[in-house]
Amino acid sequence: MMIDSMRPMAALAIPMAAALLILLFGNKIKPNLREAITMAAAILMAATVFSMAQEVTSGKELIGVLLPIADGIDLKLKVDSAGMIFASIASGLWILTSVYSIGYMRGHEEKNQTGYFAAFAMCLASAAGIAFAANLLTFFIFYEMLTIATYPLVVHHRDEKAKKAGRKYLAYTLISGQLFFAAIVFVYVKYGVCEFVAGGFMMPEAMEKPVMCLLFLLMILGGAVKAGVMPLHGWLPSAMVAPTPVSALLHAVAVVKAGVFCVFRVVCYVFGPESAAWCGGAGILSWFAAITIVLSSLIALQQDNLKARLAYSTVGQLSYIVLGISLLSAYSITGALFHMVAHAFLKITLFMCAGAIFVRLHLSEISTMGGLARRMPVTAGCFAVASLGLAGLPLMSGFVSKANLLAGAAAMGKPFFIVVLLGAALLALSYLMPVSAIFFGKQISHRAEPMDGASTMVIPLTLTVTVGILLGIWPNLGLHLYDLAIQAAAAIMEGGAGLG
Amino acid sequence: MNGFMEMANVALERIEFFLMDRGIYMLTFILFAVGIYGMVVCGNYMKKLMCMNVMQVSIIFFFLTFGQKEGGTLPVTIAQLFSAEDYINPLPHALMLTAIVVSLGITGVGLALLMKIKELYGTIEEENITGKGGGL
Amino acid sequence: MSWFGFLEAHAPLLVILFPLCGGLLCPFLSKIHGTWGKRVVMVCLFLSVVLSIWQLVLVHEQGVLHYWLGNWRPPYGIELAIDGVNGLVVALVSVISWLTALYSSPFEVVSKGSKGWVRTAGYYSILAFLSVGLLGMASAGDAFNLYVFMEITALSGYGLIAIGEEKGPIAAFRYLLTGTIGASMYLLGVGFLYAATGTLNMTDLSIRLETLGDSPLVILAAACLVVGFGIKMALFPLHGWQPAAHSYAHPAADPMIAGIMIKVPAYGMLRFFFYIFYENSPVMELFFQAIGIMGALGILFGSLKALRYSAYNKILAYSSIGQVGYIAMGFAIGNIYGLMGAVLHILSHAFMKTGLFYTSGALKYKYGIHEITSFGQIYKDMPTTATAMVVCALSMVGLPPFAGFFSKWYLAMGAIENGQYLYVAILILSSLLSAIYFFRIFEELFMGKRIEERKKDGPLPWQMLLPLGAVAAAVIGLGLGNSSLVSELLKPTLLEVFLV
Repeated sequence: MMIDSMRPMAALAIPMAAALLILLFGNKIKPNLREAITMAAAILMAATVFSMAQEVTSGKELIGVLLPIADGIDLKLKVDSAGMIFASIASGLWILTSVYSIGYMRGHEEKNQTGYFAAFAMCLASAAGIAFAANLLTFFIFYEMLTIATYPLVVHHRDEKAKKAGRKYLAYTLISGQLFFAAIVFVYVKYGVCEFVAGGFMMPEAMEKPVMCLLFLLMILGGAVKAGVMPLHGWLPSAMVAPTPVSALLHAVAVVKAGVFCVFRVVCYVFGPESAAWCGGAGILSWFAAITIVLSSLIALQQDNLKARLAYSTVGQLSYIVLGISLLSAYSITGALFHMVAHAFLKITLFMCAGAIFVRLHLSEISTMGGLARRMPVTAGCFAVASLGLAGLPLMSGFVSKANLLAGAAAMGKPFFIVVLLGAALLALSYLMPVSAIFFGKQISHRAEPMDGASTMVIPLTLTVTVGILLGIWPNLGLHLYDLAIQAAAAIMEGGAGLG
Repeated sequence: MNGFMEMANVALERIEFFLMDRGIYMLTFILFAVGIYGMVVCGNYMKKLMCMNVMQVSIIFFFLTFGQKEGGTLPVTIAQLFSAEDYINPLPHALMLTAIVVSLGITGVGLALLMKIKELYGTIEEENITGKGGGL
Repeated sequence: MSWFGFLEAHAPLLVILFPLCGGLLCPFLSKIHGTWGKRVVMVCLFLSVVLSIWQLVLVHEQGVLHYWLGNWRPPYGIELAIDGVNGLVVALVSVISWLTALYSSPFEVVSKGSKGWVRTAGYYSILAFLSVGLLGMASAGDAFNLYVFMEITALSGYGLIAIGEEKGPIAAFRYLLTGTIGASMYLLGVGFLYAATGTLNMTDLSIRLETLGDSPLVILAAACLVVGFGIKMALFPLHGWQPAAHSYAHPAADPMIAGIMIKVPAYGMLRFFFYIFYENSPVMELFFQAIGIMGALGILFGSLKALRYSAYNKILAYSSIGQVGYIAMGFAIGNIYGLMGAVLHILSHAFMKTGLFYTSGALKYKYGIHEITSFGQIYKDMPTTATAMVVCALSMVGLPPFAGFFSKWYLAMGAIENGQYLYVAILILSSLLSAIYFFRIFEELFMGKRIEERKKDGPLPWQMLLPLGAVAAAVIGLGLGNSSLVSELLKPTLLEVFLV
């Protein structure tokens, strides 16, 4: 059932308006007022998105047509279950990230905060647009907007290092974006439609196999770069020069998830499981994802910089999602969608911890953090719990998603991927747990009164890790995100011919 | 001597025939080519401007020649002649009047620019101004 | 007849006549009072804006407008023919002319002293005549009139380039030589056509040419026209005059020279080949090949060359060569989407490039800088200029949702429909190259070192801010609203071309 609604548009318009307000007045008003705009926008946006959850869970879809954007194509928003998942984690975590940002940016006395908060709001608007886009052109417009809006965040420090990272980021994302663009035009010219349909609108054998495979890979490329699938992950670790809340946003919520979501939309809503399997593209993708999972974990093991280690961990975890999507079974798609949620909450906790440590103690190398737990007990504790959750310990949200992924791999009869998934879970433990071990281990320096830092930083990270645990025990907590994931997977399997 | 005159006459006749047929176009084309060649090769801006004029004149010739026809007379109504065949087409001439005015204007602007260039650089030799000669 | 009816009946002529009167009156009024002359030009240009937009509405309601001067019927009389495409071009020219006239007023064209009025009067008269020439070229329905207007444009252009910077007279003189060759080639082509058909009226020409097939005379005429228009629109490899002319023209008039003076000949080329030669397939085949190669090479050449310069104007000038290549490529694609893309690109590139030259002029006006290395964080002093620059530059790169993206979208659609994948590849490559040189500017603009404390003397005068804002808004508006323009005006008009 479709409902016409203004709410999807409102969800986009709120952060955009906030970005505009901050840009226009940010330097003229007091910082408190500026941050109030961010907070108000974040809360309003989350409320708007959450208010749609009820309807979406009960199987309805909300449609909003903004305006005709090109000859024959509308700028159209549609809230379906998958989009709902992405939008709700993005908007929900924006509130917490904003609180944290305020603490971090003040604590760190960063410059140019106006541009920072404006770009941040713009990123969220684009993320909402990506989540709700109803057709490929709308999707692409918001996807490129996200690329551009993220650029000022990556180069925030404006030094040589930041510039280099920015160039690298643009090189990766713009090139892949342009190839994605060509593929979209191709699809539109050949099919005359570019509306997303659960289960895909491309019929297998509609064109030659190699052509379709090439098209599949071109379209995936757009998403795979942002999702950091190897060998396209290069920009992600260098983008670490950005302030930590940006890393948190980049690596947990908006940007990389947008990449994964792009892969998801292309595989499940453009090609559909059947065509994706037929042309062989999905197979190639799953191999790349599997290799990425293993390699990135191995690289993460060797990183001494905490943020770099987390970055490589992100690369690996995202490929879980990509692998889940490319396995094309109902279970694996459910798992992939839910892993977006689980990873969002857990990884953002980890990044926030890293940021808190950096602001408080100016430490960024793991080897210098010995005994940190005595000085920042809450932070260290949250870090440890989130690490366990990410590795997939039972009763944590990471477990729910990984169990589904495993079930999916089993259902498709692909034992190799089961081995990869299990092995990678162990690897994840082995690169994250030593960090906690160091935290709780011997103290290196002697300034030793407990001081966790500003409450604006501690509260958000405590909250995210709590949600991360709660979702593991009770996956349908709050917004019924797990049900939504199942619902989306079912729709995809019903829509296409279905394979598993 | 007579033989030579005869040969010359024959040659002249042939030339006339050639010109009447297509040759006149060839000549205007040569003029055009000379103009362009001069514009490219000359290093002096004044010469370039003059070559430009030669080129424009060739186009004016071109229009005038195809407006011409054998046996036609001035396009002013004459009592005995009623057929369009008897008059030459006045339109190309009218067009070329405009084109001449335009070319005059361009030459004027060109000369004004040259005076300005002379004032600024003290020379209108391309080599002395840009350090390399020739080319457009 | 009421005033209203009079205006409506004579709109196509009055649009051209108003600036002409303004230009002629300007010197006399300037003699009487220093500012009257420029005011009368602005008023006349504004009237022309109003009329041209009204005329566009009329075209939309009634179809093609045929205006017969002195009520002489074509093919004997002179005709102005306005359809959906050149109606847009006329409106574009008049809007940009008016904005540029407004933009010029803060510049020190009003010099003190007894002869000061001569300079002011001269500048504004020439500006008005430039506008007359361009408007006439766009609306002429008669091949010889087009030549006359082409020369009016060129003569005024020489003047405006010559009064520019120090190298202005040289650039103007060289442009005079090359431009005259271009105009002469055009005249030669028209001569051939006249010899072959005996008519100069474009509608009449197209009917009579149908029967001529691949007569060498017609092919020769077409070749002359390609060279003629090619020189005027600075199409590679006939662009030699353009970089110097665009970089050294008077900074106030430069936006107009760079923005629309090369676009109207591009429209002329479209008119000649698609309205007149279209039925003549041997000519068109050759045309598609020639213009395709020229366009494609031009795109690559312009973009690569722009990378090498650090003078802002030079970068913009070379980027124009590339962008004109897009338009040529649209012609070479030659189907409805290719043409839609080309026309949309004429409009969008006119706005973007005008906007960028407005920013260049503003920077020169305020701080006298033209090297991008001296841009260091100038956005803090000139926020509006920086915003306009970002909007226009992102549109030049072809990022959504700005105007440049959508012309690229239609071009890519056309190329894929024809199976010309090489063109798509070139489009993508050129976008990426332009991203490199524009982000290089952004890096300086936002992240460069502030060289010296610039003196703060308030914002730019409103006469400059208004055009800057208007053009940036137009770039966004043309992007978001392109669909109505394309489906309402361009598509029906261009489809008629293909139906003939």
